[in-house]
Formats: sequence, structure tokens, C-alpha cells
Amino acid sequence: MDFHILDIFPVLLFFISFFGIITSGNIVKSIVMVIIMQTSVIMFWLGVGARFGTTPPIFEDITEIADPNAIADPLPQALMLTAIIIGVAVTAINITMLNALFRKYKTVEWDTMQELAVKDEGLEVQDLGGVTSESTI
Amino acid sequence: MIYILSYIIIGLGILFMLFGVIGLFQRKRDFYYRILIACKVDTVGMITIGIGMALRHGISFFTGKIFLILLIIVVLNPFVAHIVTQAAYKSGFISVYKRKDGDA
Amino acid sequence: MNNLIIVLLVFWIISSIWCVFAQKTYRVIIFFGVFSLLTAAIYLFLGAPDVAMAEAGISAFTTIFFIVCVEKYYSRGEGLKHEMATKTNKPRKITRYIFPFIFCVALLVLFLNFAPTGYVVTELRDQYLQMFMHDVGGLNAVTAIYLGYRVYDTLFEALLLVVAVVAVIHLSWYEKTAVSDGKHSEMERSRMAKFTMRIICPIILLFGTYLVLNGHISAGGGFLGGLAFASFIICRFLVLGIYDLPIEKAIRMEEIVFINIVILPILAIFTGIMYLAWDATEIFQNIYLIAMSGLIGMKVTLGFFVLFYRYIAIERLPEEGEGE
Repeated sequence: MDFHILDIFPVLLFFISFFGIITSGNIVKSIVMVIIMQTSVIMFWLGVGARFGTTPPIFEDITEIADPNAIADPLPQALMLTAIIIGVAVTAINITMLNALFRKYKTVEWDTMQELAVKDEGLEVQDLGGVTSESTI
Repeated sequence: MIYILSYIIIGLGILFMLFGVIGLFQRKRDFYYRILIACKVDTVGMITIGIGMALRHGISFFTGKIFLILLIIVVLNPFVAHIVTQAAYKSGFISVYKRKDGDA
Repeated sequence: MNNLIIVLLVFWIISSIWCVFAQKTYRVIIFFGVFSLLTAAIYLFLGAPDVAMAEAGISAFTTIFFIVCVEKYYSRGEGLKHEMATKTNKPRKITRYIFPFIFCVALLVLFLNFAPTGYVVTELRDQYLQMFMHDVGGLNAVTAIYLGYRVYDTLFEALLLVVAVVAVIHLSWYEKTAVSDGKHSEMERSRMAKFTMRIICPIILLFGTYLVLNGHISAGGGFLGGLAFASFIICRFLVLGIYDLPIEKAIRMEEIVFINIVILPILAIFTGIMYLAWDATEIFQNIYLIAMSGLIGMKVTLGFFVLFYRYIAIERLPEEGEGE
């Protein structure tokens, strides 16, 4: 396994946040975990761009032709700058959907909400497996 | 000479912040004491470090930016502490010491 | 790679683990704020000041979104929670945590074993760094890429922000009477808040203007200037307690600005400003870059203003028995 140190940490964080999404009983916490997952992807690309040098790609003068091997890659930075704004849009829509759900069911727990939704549609209540509600406000 | 002076001032600022962090963990976790300490230490430590950085860099455009940041810190940091404390007071949070006196 | 980045990365992982295992929602949000601050610091040390500033601004916005939502809405729905708490038993709780843990560790090991190596390509970077001053202009390579070479990515990003605003408007509820809620009128009485805003608001405006006008020669640009202007509007009107702003006009204006954002790069490409097809001087290129930064700044300002204002000032949970 031949990995740079800047690859290891974002990949580790990706799976930590994946674990968080699976195990969290609270929808707000799940949304936070989705943002953290997106941050890990952004960090991965910036780490790839900064592999050979960490000087910012901003120059003092037009005539300066710098040594390209000491400068961070500008292409992932430009793409990730748009990705961050898109992440805000995704977060806003997530919170809005959660607000609409909360208005109907008056809860932010996954399991309670599922049970109420099943009850509303007239189906039988299934065994959901380990119903926990630890996260409190 | 002025480099040594700037290093001394920056070290002093870091020392202020260290004292504040030690002070945060005294006083039995009372909210009002802790926010007082945090606000004071942040403001004083940041001002000292900023002055040290300005001395180290000399007079240029960069120094102007440092002083603008210091102005924002001086105005905003006590204001934020004020708002947080006011919100805590209005929502009915009582200090640990006052609570003890009331019970006794 | 210096050791500072590694120390920061270790703290980064630790703060995310706090965030995963925190039990209260407020603690999750505060730990997320710590995490975002460390993220911005690491971006700065990786040589990406634009992305670091965007992350810092956006994390402040997101944290306030969450705290306002939890405070205004979710803290009222606690009644149903205690019914469910009796069902918890310990073996199921353990399986609920053990199985995902094993799953994630297995996925991590698989990824580390089978990921390709040698995927770092430097030819494109070299070509961009050599050519961007001639092709697009300016001194900041990041701005040159997202306003020049890959301008269509920026267009789709702006389109996505429009779609998000429209979706938020149509998914949420809107009541005129919520203005007189009285929950925020406590802020209006604080004379200190008004006085401080009078000092701070010109500085924020100055900073936003600086970012928009200097986006092509230093770190900054349309996104960050837009964030600064949005924070100016939010600070001013929330602290002074003005709630009946023309929000429909803001949405309409955002659509018009979006059309301008689509039209301007097409004009720039077909008139040959961007790749110097005719002898366009640097002045035209700089005019294009500043105009585009200003338009994107207006776009981001209006979008964030609508999103934020909608949540904080207007929306309100209906009381019991008030109906949908």
C-alpha cells in the first residue's frame, strides 16, 4: 500500500462519517454527517493538488514564470470552490425537507418518524430492530 | 533589536492566552465566570499578538490590514460576549453561586 | 509537507469523532463548528486560500442555520420522544453499533488495498499555469479557471443555487403574521447592538467590495464578496429589526442576474475577449473578470439572503390547533 499521508486522512474521515450516517438516530445529526462526508471529498482533492507544493497559485507579477513544481494545483481548487457552494444548496434543501417533515410528524427521530408514517398509512407496525432514541435536544 | 521586541510581545500574548485557558477550568464550571474570562483573554491576547506581528513586519500595507482586524476584534469580541450573556440571563440561567445562596 | 498539517489533520479526525459520538444535538452542531474551523485552517496550509475563506464563511452560515432551526422548531417536539425510550434494550443497541463499525472498517481496508496509485497528473496544471495570464487575464489562477476555462461549471453552479432557492420557497410555509411574533423583539431593545452594527457594517461593506474588485489579482472573488454582502444585509436588518423586506423582488432579481451570468461569458467567448482572438488588451479582460465577479457576487448575495431571511425572520411553526 503506497499512500501519501494526505490520502489516508480524508478516506478515514469518509468512512467515519459513513458510520455516523448509519448509526445516528437523529436526522439533524445525519445532515451534519452528510456535510462532513462532502468535506472529506473536498479535502481529498485539495490534497491531491497540494502533493508537490503548497504555494498558492497567485502571482505577484505578469512577467513572473514560476517553477510549476512548487505551486499547488489550481484546477481542483476552482472545482472545489463551486462544490462548496453546491453543498450549501444541498444543506438548505435538506433542512427544508426536514422542516416539512417535522411539521407533519413533530419529531426529528428516524425511528419515531418511520413508525408514525407507517401508522398513518394504515399498515402494520413492523419491528424496526433496535429502536433507540438517545439523542435529545 | 525590534525583532527581539516583537518576539517578546508575541510570547506575552501567547502567555495571556495560556493563563486564560487555565482560568477557564477553575471556578466550578460556572457559565458567567467562564464567559468573562474567555472574552477578556481573547481580546487582550489577540491585541498583543497583533501588535507584535505589526512590529515584526514593519510599516506597509500588511500592517494596515492587521490594524483593521484588530479594530474589528476590539469592537466585536465584547459585543458577542454581551449578547451571549444577555441571552443566557433572559432565558433564566442562574449562576451557581447565586443558586447556592438562594437555597441556603 | 510540514508537521503542522499532520497535527491539524489529527485534530480534524478527533473533532469529527466527537461529532459522531455526541449525544445532544447542540453538541453535534458545536463540534461541527470546531471541525469546520480546523478544515479552513488545513485548506489554508494546503495552498488554497480561496477555498479556505469560502469554507470559513459557509461554515458560519451553516452552523447558524442549524442552531436557528433547532431552537425555533425542533425543541418543541419533545413529547413523542419519551414513549419510544422504553423500547430500548441493550443487545440490539450493541448490534446497531457493531455491525456498521465492522462494515465501515471492511470498506476502508478494501479501498486502501484496491485504490489505484499514480493518479496525480501534472500536465494540465503546467499548461494552465503557463497560459492563464495570456488566455483569461488576471494574476489568480483559480479565478482564471472558474471564470475562463471552466466557466460552464460556474454557470451550472449558479443554476443550482437558483433551483435551491426556488425549492426552499416552495417547500416551506409562509405566513405574513409571523413578523409580529415578538421573539426577536428582544434584540431590538439592545442599544449596544445597534451601536456596534453602525461601526461594523461599513467595514463589512468595504471588505466585500475589496473582495469583488480584487478577485482576479489576489485571493477572493465573487463567491466570497457575495458572502460578505449577505452577512452585511443579514446583520443590518436582523439587528435593526426590519422584517418586511421585499423578498419576492429579491427572487426576481436573482433570476435576472442569473440570465446575465449566462449571457456574459458567451459574449466574452464569441467576441474573442477571452482567448485574445483579436488584439484585445488586458483592459477588456479585466473588465470581463470584474463584471463577472460582481454578477456572481450579486447572485450569491441574493441567494443567501433569501435562504437565511426565510428561516430566521419569516418562518414560524404554527401553534397547536391552528391548522396546516
